[in-house]
Amino acid sequence: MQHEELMNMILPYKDKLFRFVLRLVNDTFDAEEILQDLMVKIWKKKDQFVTIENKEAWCMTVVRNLAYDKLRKRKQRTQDIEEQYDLRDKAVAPDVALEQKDALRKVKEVIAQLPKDLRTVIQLRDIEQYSYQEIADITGWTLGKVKINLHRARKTLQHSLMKIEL
Amino acid sequence: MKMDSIQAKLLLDRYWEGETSIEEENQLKEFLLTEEGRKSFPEASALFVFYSAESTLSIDESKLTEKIDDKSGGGSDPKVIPFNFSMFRKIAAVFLIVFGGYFVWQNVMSLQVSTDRIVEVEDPKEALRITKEALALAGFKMKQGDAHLKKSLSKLSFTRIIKHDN
Repeated sequence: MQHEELMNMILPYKDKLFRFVLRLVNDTFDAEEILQDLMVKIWKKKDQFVTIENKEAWCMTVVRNLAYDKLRKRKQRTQDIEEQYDLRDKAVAPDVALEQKDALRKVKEVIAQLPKDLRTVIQLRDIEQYSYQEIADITGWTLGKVKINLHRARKTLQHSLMKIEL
Repeated sequence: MKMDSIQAKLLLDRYWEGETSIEEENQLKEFLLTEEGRKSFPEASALFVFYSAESTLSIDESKLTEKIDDKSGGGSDPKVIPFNFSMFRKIAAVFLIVFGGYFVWQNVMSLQVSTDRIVEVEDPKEALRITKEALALAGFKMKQGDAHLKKSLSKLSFTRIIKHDN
């Protein structure tokens, strides 16, 4: 199997994987490294990988585990919001853009403070829009636990956002 | 159907409880990203702006295969022969045990041979006789050696005389 074939299998969800990992580890460099590790893992087990039915869920599970390992090994770093989002392209007035940037930074901090399971469920549901069943497949949780974690995550976010000035 | 702020409020309450479907969440997102949505629900709007910005993050394809490229040195199907230090240690240990065992066995055998030839004699007279015999044998052997040495030296001096004459 060539690189290109392997890449073609990953390409449809590479950005999803990247965003998911990035929000878990909160560091672009680490997120890229985790995805590279995933690619090495797939490359080494390429014969098995092609037989996997739900490759997306499998990859999500692998990167989640790799991200959790990374989190265990280091303390979280935070990155400047400007490094991640290109807000200059938005057709908004400069003062509104500045407000948005500040709001984004605060929201990002609130999400970063969530426990990792709650952060995971928010990322998978609210950003990547996976169904409960898909989240259960990726995380290995039961459907009940997915719903409980999502409820907890959103409630925590609601209360935290009320406290900060936006 | 365009959503108003009352409908949005009802949907938002259900959202915080974790009771909305993906479709409803998309409707809510659409509303909260508008000017009206931003003014009516600034916290929720900021959250959905964050989700929206987050969903645009992507990773460059070349970043994904960096580690594989490093290992395989290109795009062709690589034959990776990893240096397995653990395996190397095992092989070294086996060699050490086999050769070590062989040398120990050799030493033990030679020790056994030499101890086999030791004879213990209880009777002092008999012991004295055997000792005398042994000493006589040693003396005889030394005499033989001495004669052999003298013969060799005389040959050597004879060769020197011939050499000197020439």
